[in-house]
Amino acid sequence: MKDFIKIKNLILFSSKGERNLIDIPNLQFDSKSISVIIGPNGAGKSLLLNLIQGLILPSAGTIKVKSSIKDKSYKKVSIMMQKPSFLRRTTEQNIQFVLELNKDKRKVSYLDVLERFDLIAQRKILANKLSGGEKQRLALALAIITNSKILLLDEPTANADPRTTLKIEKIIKEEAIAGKKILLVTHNIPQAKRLGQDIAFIHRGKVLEHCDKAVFVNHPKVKEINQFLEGEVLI
Amino acid sequence: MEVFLEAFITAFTLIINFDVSLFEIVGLSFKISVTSLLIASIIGFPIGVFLAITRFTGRSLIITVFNSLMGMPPVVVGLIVYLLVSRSGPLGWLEILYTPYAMILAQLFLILPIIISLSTQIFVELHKEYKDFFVIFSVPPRKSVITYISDSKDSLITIFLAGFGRAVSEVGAVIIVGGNIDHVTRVMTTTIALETSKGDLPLALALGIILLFISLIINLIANRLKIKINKETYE
Repeated sequence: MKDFIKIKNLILFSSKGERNLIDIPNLQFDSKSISVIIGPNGAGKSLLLNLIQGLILPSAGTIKVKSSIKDKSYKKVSIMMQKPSFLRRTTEQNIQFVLELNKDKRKVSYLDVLERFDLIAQRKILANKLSGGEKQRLALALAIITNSKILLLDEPTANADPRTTLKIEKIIKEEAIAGKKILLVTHNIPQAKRLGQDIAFIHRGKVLEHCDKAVFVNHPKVKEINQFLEGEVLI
Repeated sequence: MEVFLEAFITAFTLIINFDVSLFEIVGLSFKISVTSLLIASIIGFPIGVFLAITRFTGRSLIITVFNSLMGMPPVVVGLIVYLLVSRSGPLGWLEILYTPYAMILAQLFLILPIIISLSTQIFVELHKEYKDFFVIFSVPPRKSVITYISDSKDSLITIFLAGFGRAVSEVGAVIIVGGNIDHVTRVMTTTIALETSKGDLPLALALGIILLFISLIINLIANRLKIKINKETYE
């Protein structure tokens, strides 16, 4: 499905309304694979994810996700925030809480979740007391166990050590193979190359290019992408 | 000093001898205060959550009104409840004037603003942490309210104690609507007031000592409970 997520004339004004934080006339993502949204800091990547999730309402425009009549959870979107928030409870209690909310009748054991995300040793620790990498694994676990069709991942490996990064990337690939649509926000070019099938480059709230990974890496059409790939600082 | 010494001896004699009328007074005080406190908590905590997490016109005014009502003089509350439940009042048909029910109602009026105001402040702080989590995982409103209350239980115990302290120690409201009838509506504070006016200072002081002792015991229990909850949560 080519236009699984369809963004049309999306605009988000700044709080004072003097400029557009997001200005995307047209952007589409297909229903499978991992799509990467890449760009320099402050480009509007996280804002775009928050708009898709519905945490922020746009000033104008629409975001449509195609739904299937047979599967009511098809339209559901879940997000892993860059700075995730948890309940003031232990790791396992946070997982149990989200599992209880799951309308999907599949029985998923919280122990399986803890094991898959390498959190068994941290199960009795308060979620807010976990280390950065552990928090990211827990946040990813919570996003995944909601059994949404679309996973929005905002810098899922930021500040993570190489071992955690590999673990998280492995899980992301598994979820994509299982049929989930993944929108991955990152400013890590090697990670975008490792995971993405298509890459959207966003700068100053505008999508300058959205194309296949090979085209993006080898034949970028806009000079900003070249500058970004070469490690130049974009303002 | 002799009066104090005599009061201590009287108090211990009454307690050791399991004085029936003394324990009847203490028991009734407890029943009335605990009942009003439970009702106030059942009503007040959900209102506190509602005021903390919702935004509507007049919200600030309502919070200010509840804050102001925290300091309402008990005699004024007693007068209002008296007017409500007296034969010609709107609740006169209940025929509860000069019964423990009227005293419960008066104490409810006194402690409900305390429960609402203090818990709102706690829930506002928790809401800052939980807001995104609840939106992302689409937590239903009923479950949100339960979670806010259950995850603040260590702070709510302090509010519970403040409410109990206010209820069990007040005299102005209960004496107006209860009438201090022996074996019917006589509680510790009204007995202290009565015995003082009669000049029976040792008995009044003895009851005062028991009242202080009860407060001390309740505070100790609450502190133990808080430590236990913290231990369970943070280990």
